[in-house]
Amino acid sequence: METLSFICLLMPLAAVAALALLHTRISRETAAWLGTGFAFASFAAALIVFVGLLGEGAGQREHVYTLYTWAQSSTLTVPFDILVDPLSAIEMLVVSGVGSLIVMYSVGYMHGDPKERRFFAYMNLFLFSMLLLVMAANFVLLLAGWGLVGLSSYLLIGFWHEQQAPVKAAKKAFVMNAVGDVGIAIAIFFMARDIGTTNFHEVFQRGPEVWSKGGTTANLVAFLLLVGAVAKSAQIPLHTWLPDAMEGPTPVSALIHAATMVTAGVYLIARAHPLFENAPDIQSLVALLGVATLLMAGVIALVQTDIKRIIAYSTMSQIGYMFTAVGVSAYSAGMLHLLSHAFFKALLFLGAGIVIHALANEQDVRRMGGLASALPWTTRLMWVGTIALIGIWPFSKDVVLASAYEAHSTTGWIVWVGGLLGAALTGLYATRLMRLVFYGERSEFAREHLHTDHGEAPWTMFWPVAVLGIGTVLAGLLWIGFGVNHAFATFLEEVAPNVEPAVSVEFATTVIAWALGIGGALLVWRLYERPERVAAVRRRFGSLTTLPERKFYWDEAYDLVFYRPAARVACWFNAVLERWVFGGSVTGTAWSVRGIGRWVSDAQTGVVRQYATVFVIGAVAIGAYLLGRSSL
Amino acid sequence: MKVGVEYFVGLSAVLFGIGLYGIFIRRSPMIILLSVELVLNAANLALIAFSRYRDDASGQVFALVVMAVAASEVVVGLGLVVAMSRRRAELDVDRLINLRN
Amino acid sequence: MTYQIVFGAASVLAVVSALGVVLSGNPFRSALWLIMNLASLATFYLLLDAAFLAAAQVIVYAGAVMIMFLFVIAYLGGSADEPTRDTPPWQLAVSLLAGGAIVAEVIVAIASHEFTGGPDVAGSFGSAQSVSVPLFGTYLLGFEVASVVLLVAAVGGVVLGARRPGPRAPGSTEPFVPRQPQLVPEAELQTAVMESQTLITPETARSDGG
Repeated sequence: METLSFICLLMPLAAVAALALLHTRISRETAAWLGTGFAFASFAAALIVFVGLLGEGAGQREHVYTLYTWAQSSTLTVPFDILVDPLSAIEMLVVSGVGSLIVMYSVGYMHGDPKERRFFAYMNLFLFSMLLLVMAANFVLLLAGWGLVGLSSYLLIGFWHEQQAPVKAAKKAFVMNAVGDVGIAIAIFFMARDIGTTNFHEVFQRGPEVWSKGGTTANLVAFLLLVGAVAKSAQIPLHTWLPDAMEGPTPVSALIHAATMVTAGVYLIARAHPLFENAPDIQSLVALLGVATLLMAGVIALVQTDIKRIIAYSTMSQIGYMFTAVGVSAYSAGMLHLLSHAFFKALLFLGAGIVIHALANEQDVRRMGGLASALPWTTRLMWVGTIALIGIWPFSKDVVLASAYEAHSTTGWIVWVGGLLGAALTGLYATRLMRLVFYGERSEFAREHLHTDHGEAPWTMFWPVAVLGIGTVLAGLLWIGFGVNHAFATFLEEVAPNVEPAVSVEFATTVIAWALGIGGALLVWRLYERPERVAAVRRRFGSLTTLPERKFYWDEAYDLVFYRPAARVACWFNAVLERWVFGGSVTGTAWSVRGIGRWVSDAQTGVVRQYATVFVIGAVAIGAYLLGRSSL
Repeated sequence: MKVGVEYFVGLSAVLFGIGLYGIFIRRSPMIILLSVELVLNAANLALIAFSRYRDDASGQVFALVVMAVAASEVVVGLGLVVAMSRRRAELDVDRLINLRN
Repeated sequence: MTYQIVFGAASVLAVVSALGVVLSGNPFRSALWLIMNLASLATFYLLLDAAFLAAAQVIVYAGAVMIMFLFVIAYLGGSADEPTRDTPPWQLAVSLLAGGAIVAEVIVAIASHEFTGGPDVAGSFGSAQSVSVPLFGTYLLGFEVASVVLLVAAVGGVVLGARRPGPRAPGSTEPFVPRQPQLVPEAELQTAVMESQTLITPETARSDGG
């Protein structure tokens, strides 16, 4: 099992090396399939490891494998350790499984792109980084994976770097993630100082001993980890980078910004839950941030016109749900949502990618419509994803909400109410998306540009979507709730415990959530059936749409508070410090040396007599000195 | 010593001074070279006087070496003068300032 | 008594001939005055019981070096003559001062010291043997170095004196123009490079919404 775990981790890295070294010696197609092959190999290894883990009894499922000692100093030793336990095994499956499906999809999607090889190298780099993140057995290695994932995200968002928008988006993503990196780094400093190691085992055991519950340090450490999670998972307040990240190719959006990377924050909190349990206030903060984000993102998604951005805000909202789950200690529920979300969100993104592909890269929903007849299977699969998103049983995420209610705290209440409202919002925007894209009258643009001569989509693009659809259904079946199927929770129990809601609570919550979700869906459906109703709504609520359309002015605020002053300072540095101090010291040195040289060379007149005079004067002086010394 | 060493040394100093004067005042390189010879000889005189005063032959050895060096220096100097005159340069030290700067 | 008379005469001769060297208008005359100076110095060496050195002085210096001088002066002919002598008075003053300073220093040094009468020396003092023993003994290194110097000088003299086909035709009377030294052009300053880089201004980059 040890070897297989390492194979799982290192296969994508081998892909990167192979693609980098072979470069243009292999055709683009070969490179694409090579990348895909390595990804699937990684998944195969992960699957075998998972099965192996299932076979073991509870309490024996935690394995730590060491590759070598990565760094060693007098105060801190960092081994290259990977941890294979139920939590990381699930993540491994998600990352490598969904990852390889998406990579395969990219074979079709990125076909013909001049830099196709680079794309597959980057995708595999991402897979390796994400696997490193979830398999790390200590915080330093996790941070390494964390940073590498950020790097891969930057590279992939800015993949089409000849244009300006992707480059800016990539920079924005990277900078915001860097804030999170700092948070985790400082948390690591605390661990190194107070515990002496960053290995998960020791930190989770001794952390609560060393840092008193609810004390300043405990809160600080949890808060810092939260900062990292918030940045990576695009929650308020570090969320503004995610919509911009849609500038990257659709497979990138699917893989990184829906299924895996953005869920890293959730994973971190679930993994480090002892530290969060040790700081209850911070844990409440997690839940509250989750609620705030899920509501805000839901509202914004309602007024978006770009198909990818609708799905992006949906992602932000759903991760908010996951945050609320871990915020109320319902870790398994959160992980379940993470798992099923990975499937259906990737499904939605890839489906959207098929639509975009069929419409010659058009992404504006106002130019779509009536595509159901042209893309029947895509439509059906997208419905599967949408139903899962809205949370209609058996794709229930409402265990989360039920558990929150069970907590019987103020935070729990807020989560419950907010979550239910969010269910309504989800119903609204998800149905809106389907309605606008696939139903109604086909827009002019669609009529002109739609090309489905080769069927709905190339088989490399279609089948991954189909498999994801099947996966979505299966994921839903993992947790039917009402105390029936708890295999999932039991599997995760020792690593990520859960809060058990009472059956009645669960029942009530589910019913209400359904009602709201389906109600919202129907509302939107009826609304869009008549254009005049839409117009009427727009007139009445028109003024309200400015706020969400401007994304609640977060970007503008950050620009004002952070970016402009920083740019000013940088300009000042360039103009003053760089030019005068640094440049000046260099040129000044040259100038002064030359000046001194010129001044000295003036003494060389070439007139011999002058030289003789100087000689003699010197001799006289020395003679006088010697005379004086010898005490006349 | 029938005449005290101080007289010899004093004379040497006077001759030295006259030689210096010649170096400073004259402009022809030939005359300057001759003045340099004068200076060297004055030094030799002092050396030998002290050698006698101390009853030590080292002074005379030194004076011999000085003579050898003076001869070599004269050779080179005269060679320079000859080379300069061949290039029709004016034999005036105030004009020969190629080493300027 | 004879001793002091000889000393006095010789010193007068030495000073007069030295003045003759530096004050004479004609290099040929200067050379001749120098020969007389050398002769008087040889006398002094004899008075100081340095017989070998007196002989060396006459043979080497007066005999070889001065003959060399005279040869060159004869070769140069009229061009060896002094150009018009108009020395500014300040130069005169400075040189007198310099020379006078040295002399004064030495006089002061001597005057302030009590010199006892010199010791009596052995009869072999100043003979060739008594000079050569330290020369080839204690001061062997100095001797060898001196011979190297002589060698170098000889080579140098030959090199300098050899006729080389110059860039001009032999016999031409073009004047000798010394080569002007080349001034180094102003080097490119670092600021030129800095200026060519893009400046970040608040206007050039903003965050746009999706």
